[in-house]
Formats: sequence, structure tokens, C-alpha cells
Amino acid sequence: MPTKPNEQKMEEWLVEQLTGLMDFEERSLGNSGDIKMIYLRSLTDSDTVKRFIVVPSYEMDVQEYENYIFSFPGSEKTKDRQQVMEFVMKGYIFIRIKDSSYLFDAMKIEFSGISSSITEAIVQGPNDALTENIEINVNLIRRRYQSKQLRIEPLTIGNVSQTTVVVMYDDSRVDRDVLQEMRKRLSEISVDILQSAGELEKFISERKYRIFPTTVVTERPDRVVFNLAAGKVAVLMNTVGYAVIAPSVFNDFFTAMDDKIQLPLVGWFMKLIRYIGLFLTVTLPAFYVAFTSYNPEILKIQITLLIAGSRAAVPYPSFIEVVLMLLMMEFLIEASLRLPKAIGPTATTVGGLILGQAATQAGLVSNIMIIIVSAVAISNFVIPLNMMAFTVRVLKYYLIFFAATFGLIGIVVSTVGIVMYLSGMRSFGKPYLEIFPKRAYQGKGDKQHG
Amino acid sequence: MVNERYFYYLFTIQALINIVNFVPRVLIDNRFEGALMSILVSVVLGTTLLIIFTKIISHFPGEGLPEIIHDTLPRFVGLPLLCIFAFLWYESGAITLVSFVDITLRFITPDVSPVFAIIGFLLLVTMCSRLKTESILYALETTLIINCPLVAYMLIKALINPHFSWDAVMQIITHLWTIPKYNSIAGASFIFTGYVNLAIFNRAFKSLKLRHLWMIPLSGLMVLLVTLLVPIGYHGTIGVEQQVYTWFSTADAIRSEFFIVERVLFIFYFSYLAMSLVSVVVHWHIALELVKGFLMKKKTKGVKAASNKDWWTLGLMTAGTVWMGFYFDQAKLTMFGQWFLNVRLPGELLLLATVLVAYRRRKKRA
Amino acid sequence: MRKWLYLWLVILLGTMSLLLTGCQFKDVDRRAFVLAFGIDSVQKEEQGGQGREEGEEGEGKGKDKGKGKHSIEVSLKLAIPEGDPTKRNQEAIVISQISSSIPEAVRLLKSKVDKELDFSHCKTLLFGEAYARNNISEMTDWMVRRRDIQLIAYNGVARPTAKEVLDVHPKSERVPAYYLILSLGKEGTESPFIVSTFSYNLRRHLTEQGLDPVLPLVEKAGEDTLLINKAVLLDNQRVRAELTPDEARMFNLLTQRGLRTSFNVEMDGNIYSYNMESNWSKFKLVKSNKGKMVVQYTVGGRATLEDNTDAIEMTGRILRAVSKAASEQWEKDIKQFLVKVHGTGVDPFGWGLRYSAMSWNNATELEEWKRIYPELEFSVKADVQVRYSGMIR
Repeated sequence: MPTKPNEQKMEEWLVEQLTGLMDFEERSLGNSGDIKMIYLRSLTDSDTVKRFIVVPSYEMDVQEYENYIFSFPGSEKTKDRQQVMEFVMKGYIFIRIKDSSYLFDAMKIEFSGISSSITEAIVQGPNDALTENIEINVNLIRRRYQSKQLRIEPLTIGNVSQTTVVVMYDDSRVDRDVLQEMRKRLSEISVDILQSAGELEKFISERKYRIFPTTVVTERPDRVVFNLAAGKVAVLMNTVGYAVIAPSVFNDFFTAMDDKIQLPLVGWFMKLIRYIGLFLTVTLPAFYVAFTSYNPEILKIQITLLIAGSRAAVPYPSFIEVVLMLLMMEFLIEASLRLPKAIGPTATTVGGLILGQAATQAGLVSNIMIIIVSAVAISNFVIPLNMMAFTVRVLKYYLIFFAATFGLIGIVVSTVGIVMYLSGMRSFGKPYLEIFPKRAYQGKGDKQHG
Repeated sequence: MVNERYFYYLFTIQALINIVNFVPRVLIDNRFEGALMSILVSVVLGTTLLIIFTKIISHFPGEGLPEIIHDTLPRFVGLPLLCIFAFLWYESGAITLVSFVDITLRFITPDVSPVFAIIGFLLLVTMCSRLKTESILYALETTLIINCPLVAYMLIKALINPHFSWDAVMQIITHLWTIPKYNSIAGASFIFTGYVNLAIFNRAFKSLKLRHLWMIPLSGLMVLLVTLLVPIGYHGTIGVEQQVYTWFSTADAIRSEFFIVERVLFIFYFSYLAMSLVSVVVHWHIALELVKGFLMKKKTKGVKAASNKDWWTLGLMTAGTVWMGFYFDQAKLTMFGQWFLNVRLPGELLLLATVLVAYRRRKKRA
Repeated sequence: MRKWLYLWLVILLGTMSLLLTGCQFKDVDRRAFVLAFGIDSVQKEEQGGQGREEGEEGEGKGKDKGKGKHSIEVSLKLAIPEGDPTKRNQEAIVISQISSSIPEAVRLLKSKVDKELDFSHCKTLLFGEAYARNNISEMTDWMVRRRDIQLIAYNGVARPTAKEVLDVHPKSERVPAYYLILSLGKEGTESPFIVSTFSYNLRRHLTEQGLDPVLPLVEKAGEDTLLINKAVLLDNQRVRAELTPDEARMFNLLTQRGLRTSFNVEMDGNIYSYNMESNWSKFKLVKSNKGKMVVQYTVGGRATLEDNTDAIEMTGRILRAVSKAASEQWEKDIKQFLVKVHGTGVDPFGWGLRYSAMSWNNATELEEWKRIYPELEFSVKADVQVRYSGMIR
């Protein structure tokens, strides 16, 4: 028996490596004593172990048992130590039957089941969100995209976390340059731990210091499918319930999945609303500052007197007032996000009451200011994708700064600056802000654009 | 590589922003001395130049003026030419900036110090003129699409005003048969010069097959007529002369009753500031690229990425503009603007000649 | 390294800009908004005021009483922003100052209020009657030259003085001086007797050859009532004639479309009054066969019958008869009005401008017009159609 020492050695080596782990199991099976299994309890499904490994070992002879084990899909013969180690760490069971050894798939998978989407809620339409398991995610997408052209390329990123990352695209529609660029960037990533889509997004985007996101991070499989059909590339990760879609341009961040569901006119209206919301949330505080401090002549006389009157008791200049109130609003948003669900409403009530009512009555801020701050906060929330909503939250301070230093021209100049900046950006080689973009793929069934 | 529609944007922005300062000035000064005739002449002249230039430059797909000159002309001819062109483009941007600073101080915020306003504008313009050629085109498109509805609104608002005096307009039209002066022809043809920007922006066009070319003389004529006649309808045939910034005063006379902003002046100012800034970025981008072009070694071809050396050029351009801002008073600025308009027309012909010669030489070689 | 450099640069610029602008920051609550502006000539005996101290006025002293050119009184109606906007009883203050020139007066007025004077919302500019009868050039120049005074402000002539008119606080006024804005601009009331004129319009009429300005006349009618139903005709500098309310309405009828008004016509001893629904008017200059220039007006409109004194039933025949009578009435009245305006020697309708607009002979058209003008003749063709009899027949 020339191989025996080898298998035996492998077993001994494995035992040696794993001893000391609290969930390490080593058992002899069957009546003959020729069968031995080694596995890690926490990674394996104990039910599978009992039903498919332990019980049958007493019901058949060794030869039959060996065939039986090998017949399972996912069972493999061992190759070398590294492979064995890797598989055991994944939740495979090492089984030695006489002279040969096998790896049996008994992975236990703990994941949150398919839940409905939270961060990108829509009114009608599919509610499934991506889960934290890549197999299920691939399944979710495949089910919606039944084309043989759908390519799935797995790779592993993260020296320690060994995260499985999957690149998905439609072979017949994808933009080759983008795909090439994506593969290149993914292969260049060198980190220890990768465990969120945001990190991945950061690693694969062009510039390190930038304010606008260049890839959409979504938890909706239908958005992934919609983008795959448009010839884009989606990157999914194991253990993360989000997909990263590239290339993504400015307009993509203002597309909700509702837009396709709604009637065309309604859909356009919704989109218009979002852009108006964007405009308001970014410029309203800045306009307030410029108006009260530099150019009270632009509005009508009634509004001017109204604002002047409501500001009469306010002791500090307008931009301090604005920044103060906006900061309070940010605190409020941040606080109600972090607080446990049960006390969340308290923060809003206290904040709303104190800031809204008392501050104006005390004459610390003007009434108009409260209205503006609420309008800003609300219109900020109409942006469907979170990454962009956060960006916009930051952006308004930049405008306030210029409004406070230059007045109205500051607003115009900085808005032109933003347009220029956006035009200069590229997402995987695609212009980020182009009003009438060339679509990556123009299909027959794709005429209706969201 | 971009679509041909961007060519029309280059044309449109030039046609639109002319009404900020000098073109209406010179046309109105000559309103009894052949302004209308010069409009007609310049429509013909401008369209002809535009068609010839675009036809020739479309034989150099993806190439900018520096590459063309390096490729076909001896260096001692090419260098001075590039210098002249770079200077013209620079001036065209600088003059717009300086007048806009003046306008800002006059109409919008006398509270902001002029140094500050000019520094703000310059910061934006210098940073943006280092962008890629395509990026500038995208920004141009966005700016125009946001602003054109506003411009259209103001124009309609201006024309349907019952206080608009059509008699005054007719009075000017009866002065049609007058021999125009060079001044006003040079001024009026300025609005057609958007096409010269192809000198650099041609790099972004793969092919330049222009359709609907008939729209160019037509829209040019409309723009020029509006430029001259709308202020006259508001301020009268005599009173119009007294306005320094004719169009801003005209915008101030328009009122939109049912809008949050009652004075159209502000809407006008906003949209024109945005468009002018973008237009300055376009011009300075060209000036910068031309300067880079004549510093370029003969062999290296194509577009180079933005480098830190650009800052030296931009620094000089900035310093020049700041100096202009301080040195020019109203009269000097007007004079300089007119001088620029007068020099520009021969400059344009020179550019045309350069490209024509380059095209001949290349064809001979091929 | 570079990144830090940029960061420092940005921070430096930021703090610098904040420091630099801090001093110019003047918030809206630190400004006193001038909502109406009035200017008056001051008689000699009143000239001993504060205005005397400033500037050299050796010239002005020599002049006699009526010609108060070198002494004017500027009155401003200010809105002072007050604490509670819900109360909506913004107080208005009227301050005035006698001085030799407008800018000087404004400068002196600045020390009478604790806030910065802001003219950007000044929508009404009133000329005192005495001032307007003398010379309005200085004022019209100033108001167009200043950057912050809108070109879409309303102008008017005030009687007896601008100051007294501004001092009136009508009961219906919610925002200070809003009464004047609403009525002069016809935003609120649409009285057919108000001739509204914007600054740019006044300016155009003043400068244009062959076109003269018209201004509404704002009269103080009582402690807290104003009356605006007359108008004045001006030449290039001063008031030349006054229009009665009926004439002011006639003027509007000839220059505006869609004037809301009503007229009476007498037919067979019965007085019918009708309400205009739409109206139009145009004029042509035609050479008559006698070689004289005739201004040919064609006016018309549609109307609804509003009442008749005898309460007769309206039939189509009667309506047509009324229309005919109304047209004849119009022709007579308008012709009379035009002859009167012509008699004053001014040209508020722009006949002269129309003449030069129609004449391609540019070199001599002005002299021609000067020759033609005194001999002008008028003809009016009216076409009033009383179409409906209202809710009852």
C-alpha cells in the first residue's frame, strides 16, 4: 500500500493543524474503523453530518460507503494539503475511507433570508433585496435574467477575508472597454479585509478624493438586472447584500426603479421632481444667505419685508444662522439613524419641537429659516440612491460658503464649477455628466427608458 | 470622440453671449449709420467663413490647430501664428471676464470688492480650462440646455410687452440703406465666430458632417436683429445710446409679474454669467492648448494630458486679466473691446488662410 | 505632500475670503427699504433749511422764488422691518430733506435713520407738481443712472406735493407704499383712469424725437385717501397740460388694449351705458388730397350693455342702433380730445415717431415733421359693437 502513508500523513497533519480549535471534531465511523472524518463543527450543518454521513456508515460496507460518499455532487477527492485546509475552513468534511480521502460538502450557511428592500423602497414592483449569500444572489439575478449570454466570473479578493466576488455581465451587450477596465481594477485590489460594497466601490473608482459616487451601489436585484440589460457590469460580493454597478453616470443616481413601473408621463414627472429636489436642497440655504446678506432686491417687496421682519430679532449674520440650523438638522438625521428603533421617534419629536418652535420664539433663528431647513431636509430625501443623497448633503455647505463670501455671484460661479467638475468626471471611461448620453446598448425591447 | 451636435453648441454660445457687451454697443452706436446693413453683410460673410473653415478642418479629423501647423508648416511660420492665435483667444476670454466683473459691480453687488469678484471668476476659469476637451463640451451642453429656456423666456417676455415700441424699431429699419462701417461689420460678424473654436475642439470630433447648415445664417440673423432692435424698442432710438450695458438695462426694463423674482434683470444676469464663464473656459482652454502646442516638440503628436506646467501659462493669463481689470475704466474698456472686435476679423481670416495652406500642402504631399 | 499643500491653500483662501467680506456683509434686517421716493421744488422762503449749509449755491441764491431749481426737497417712504411678521402692520416712516441736489439729500437722509438706505425696492417715484412744472431732467437722469433703482418703477406727478402724498397712509395699505404700487401699476385696481408709466418708458418718451411722456397725477384727496384719475402731458422737461379723468381714460383707450371701462351713450333720450370687453385702436398717417397730413385713427371694441335708464327690452335692432350711436359718440369725443392734445403742442401718441418710422427719407424727416406738425388734421373712425345685453334682454 504505497498511498497509505500519504493519506495517513495528510490526516495527521490536518489533526495537528486543527487541534486547539474549540469546534474541531474528529470521529471514527462505521463498524470497520476504516472510516474517519474531520471537520469544524461551527461551519458544518450538523443535520447533514448526521443524516448523510454518520447514519449510512453503519448501514453499508466500506466499499459501498465510499461510492456513496463520492456520488454526492460537491464531493471531491483530496489533492493536496492546501486544498484540504481551504475546504475544511469553508465547511467541508474531510473523510478518509481506507486509502483514499474525500471532501464532503456539508457547509452550513447562516444568512438572513430574502427580505424586502429597505434602503431603496418603492411603491409597486418587486420587493426582494439581495441577501448576504452570493449563491442566492446569483440565483435571484439569474431568475430575472434568463439569458445564456449572462456571464458570471468569480474571483477572490482579500488576503484574509477571502471574499468571493462575482463579476456579472451580458456578453452580447456589455461594453468591452468597461469590462476590461473592471477586471483590471479588481485584480489590482490588494487588501486584507473586504466586507462591504462601499469599500469595493472605493477601490475600483478612479479618484480617491472625490465627492460624487461613480458606481451605483444597490440592494435591488431588479436594478442589477435592468443595468445588465443596459450593457453594464455588476459586481456582487459574498457576505454583502449589495451589488456595485458600473459604469454609472449622474442620471443613474436619480433613477428609481419605480420609473419603469409608472406610466411614462408620471415617470418623467417623478424624475423632474427629483431634479427639482436636488436643485432646492443644494441651493436653497445658499440663496437664503445671498438674499439676506447681499441682494435683498431680487425678491418681491412683500417677501423681503417678511424675511427682514422675521430676522429682526436674530443677533448674528445669516450664514451663521443657516449653518447652525443645518448642523442641527444633520444631528437630528444622524441621531435618528443611530438610535434604536424604539426611541428613534423621540429624537425627532424633541428635535422638531425644540428647534422648530422654541428657537424661533426665542428669536434665535427666523421663521423663514425653519421653513428652509425643513424644505432642504425633505427634498434631500427624494434622491433614490443613498450614496448620492449623502453627497448632496455635503454639497450644500460648499454653496453656502460661496454664497456667504461672494453673494449671488458665488452661487452662480460655484454652480458652474459643479457642472464643470461633473463634466470632467468619468465613470470607467464614460462621461459622468452628459445630457444625452450614448447608451451602451440599444436593444429592441429597450426603447422605453426609465 | 463626440457627436456633431457639439459644433452647434460652440456656435450657439458665441452667438448668445455676444449681447453682454461690445456687439450691441457697436451696433447701437452705428444704428443710424448702417448697423442694419452691416448685419446683413456679416450674416453672409460669417456664414461663408464658417462653411469654408468647417469644410477644410473636416479633412483633419481629430486634429487640432497645433498638430496641423506642426505637420505642414515650417516652424518659423508656425510659431508666430500660434502665438497670435493664442493671444486672440486669450483676449477674447479676458475681455468677457473683465466686462462681467464690471457688470457685476454695477448691477448686482457693489458690496463685493472687484478684486474678489475677479479672483473668484479666475479661479473657476483657470481650473476648468485644464479639463479635457471633451469634458468642456459636455459642460457646454449642460450649461446651454439649462440656460436656453431662460433666454427664450426672457426674449418672449421682452417681445410681448405692450410698452415695447415697434415704431422705434421701424425708425431704425428705415435706416437700412446706409453704407455700413468696418466697425459694425467686425462687431456683427463676431457672433458667427463660434466655429473658430474648432481649432482645438476639432480634436474631439471624429467626423464633421454638418447637417442643417441653413439654420446658421437664419439664427445668426435673428440673434443680430434681436441684439440691435430689442434695446431700441425699450429705450427708444435716442435713449438707447445712453445705456452703458444696453442689454442689462433692457433686461431691467422687463418685468415678470407672476414669478418669485420680479426683476428679469437677475435671471438674465444669472444665465449670462453662467454662459459667459463657460465661454471663457472654452476660449482659455484653446489659448492654453495653443500655447502648449507651440511649446510642443515637433515629433510629439496628439493631445497631452494636463500637466503642472499649465499653471505657468494660466498664471500669466490670470495676471494679465487682473491687470486689465484694474487698469481699464469704462471708456478704456469700451475702446479696447472695439479694438479687439476690429482686430479679430483679420485674425479670423488669417486662421482661415493658415488652415487652407496647411490643407494644400498636405494634399500635395499625399 | 502636495495634497497638504492644496489643503492649506484652500483653508487660507477660505479664511481670507471670510475675513475680507465680513465687513461688507449687511443683512436684510440692517437695511431700511425705500419704497417710494418723492421730490419737490422748494420755494425761496423755505430755503433757509439744512440744505443751505451744503455745497456752493451762489447761483441758486440769485434765482427768484418760482425757479427752485437749485433747491429741492427729497422725501422717502421707508419700510422698517419689524419683529413679528404675523401682525402685518408694518409701520412706514416718511423722512424728508431739503438740499441742493438729490445725492446730497440722500446722503443727508442717511443720518436720519439707523439703518442703511436701500433703494432697490423703490417702486414709486413721484414728482411734486411744482417740480414737474419746472424741470424733471435732474431727477430722471438720477433715477436711471443709479444702479439700484429699478427701471420698472412707476412714475407719477404728485399734487399738491410729493411729500404730502407720501405722508398719506391709506387704510387699505398692508405694506407701506403698496397702495401706490398696486394702483399705479394696475396690479390691484384696474381703474381705466390711471395712466401707468414705468421709468424706462418715461425715459424713452423724454429722449425720443416725436414722442412725449405722459404721467399719472396722484392727488391727495383727504386725510387718508389718494385719488389717481388724471394725467399730465409733458414735453422734454416739464408739464405742459393736464388731462381730465375723461381725457385720461380716452388716452388709455387709444394706447391700450383690453381696457376695462364703461361709457354712456344717449339715444332717443334714453341713456345706455355699456361695458367694454375688448378694444383696439390704431392710427395711420395719410396725406389728404389737400396736401395736408391727416392722422387717421381707427378704434373699435366690443361691449356689453350694462344698464339703460328706461329699462327697455333690448332687441338686436336696438343693440345695433346703440352700437351706431356709441361709435358716433366716440368719433366725436376722440376727435375733440386729439385736437386738444395737438393744441398743447406735445406728442404723447408718437405721431412724429410714426412719421419718421414710415419715412425712408432719413436726412430730412425731422425737419419735414416740424413743418407738418402744426398743420396736422385728424380723422377718427370708430366701430363699437355692443354685442350682448347682459343677463336679461
